[in-house]
Amino acid sequence: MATMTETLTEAAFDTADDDHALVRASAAGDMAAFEALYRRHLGRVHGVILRLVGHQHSRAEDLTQEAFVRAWQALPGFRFESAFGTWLHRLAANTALMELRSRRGTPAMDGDEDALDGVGVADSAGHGTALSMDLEQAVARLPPRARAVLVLHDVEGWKHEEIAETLDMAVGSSKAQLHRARKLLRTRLGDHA
Amino acid sequence: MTRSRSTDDLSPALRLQLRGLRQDALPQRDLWPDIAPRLSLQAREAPASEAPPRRRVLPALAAAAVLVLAAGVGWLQRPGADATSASAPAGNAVAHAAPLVVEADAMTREYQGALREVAAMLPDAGEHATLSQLDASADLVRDALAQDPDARFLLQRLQRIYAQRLSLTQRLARA
Repeated sequence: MATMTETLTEAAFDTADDDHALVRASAAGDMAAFEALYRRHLGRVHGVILRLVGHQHSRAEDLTQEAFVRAWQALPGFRFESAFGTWLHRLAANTALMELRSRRGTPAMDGDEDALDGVGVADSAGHGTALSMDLEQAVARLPPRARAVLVLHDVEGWKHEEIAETLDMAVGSSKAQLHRARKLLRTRLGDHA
Repeated sequence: MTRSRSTDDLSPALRLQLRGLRQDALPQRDLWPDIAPRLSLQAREAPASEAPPRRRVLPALAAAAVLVLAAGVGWLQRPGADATSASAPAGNAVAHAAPLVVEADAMTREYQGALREVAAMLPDAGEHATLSQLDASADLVRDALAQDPDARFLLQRLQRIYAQRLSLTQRLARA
């Protein structure tokens, strides 16, 4: 077991070292190096964005593109104080959340539960009932802000303070949204929760 | 990112299931063909995108320099300027000196306004030794003018220092 742990640790360091070399090259304008970073981190970046936008694939793909463009722009400022993957993951989440915040003023982003109910299910509409709906779909069907808070807190592991700051809301609002999201989730999952 | 403890309204099973959702997901198509042109466009535009702030600085500096020169030259070439100082009776010197000081104040305010615009884009400009010397010289000339408010050559000197200061800042902006 120790051998496996050591191997995994070494692999992680190797990946980080490779990332840093690619980051330096990318920051200097090497697009081939940046493409290598894109290939390496695409799944993680697209994954978090997809969850935050409720599995709307087209929207998630647009935001994933935007995240990598923003990463390319921001790379010269990367200080190597954290793993590149962590930095990129955060940037990707922020890209999706910025769009979420920009939609806050629209009717679909306000607190009207009925108006929100259908948001975020563009690719999963008509798939089964609440009882047979799997967890991923149930999360996708949550109202956007409640979904964002639940995904960030319960899936991605963010703290309420971080969520509140990123979503420009009070910490108490983040906690309230999480409570609401969990309640909705349990209701939609029925006895399975 | 540390997980908080607000999991009291979540069953352990559901909490684990939610953690399990943290999985990589690939898009349904390769996005690189759409991303690459945007990067190469930015790469080509990068030098140009850095240039505008300086290009915006230079007209501001040029305008400021012209303003200072115009203020100085305008005052110096006003009708009867030479005759006023040359022919003024000694007893009226103070009365004629007041407009000179007022003019110097106005010129300084215009100069400082233009410089503030530039300083916002060249935050380190104030630390340049020559610029500091020029600023110190301008202060000395202003003090001298306050002591001798009829000394038109001091106003000329002040105007030249301001012009030099703006010209040097302009060259730093180009560097």
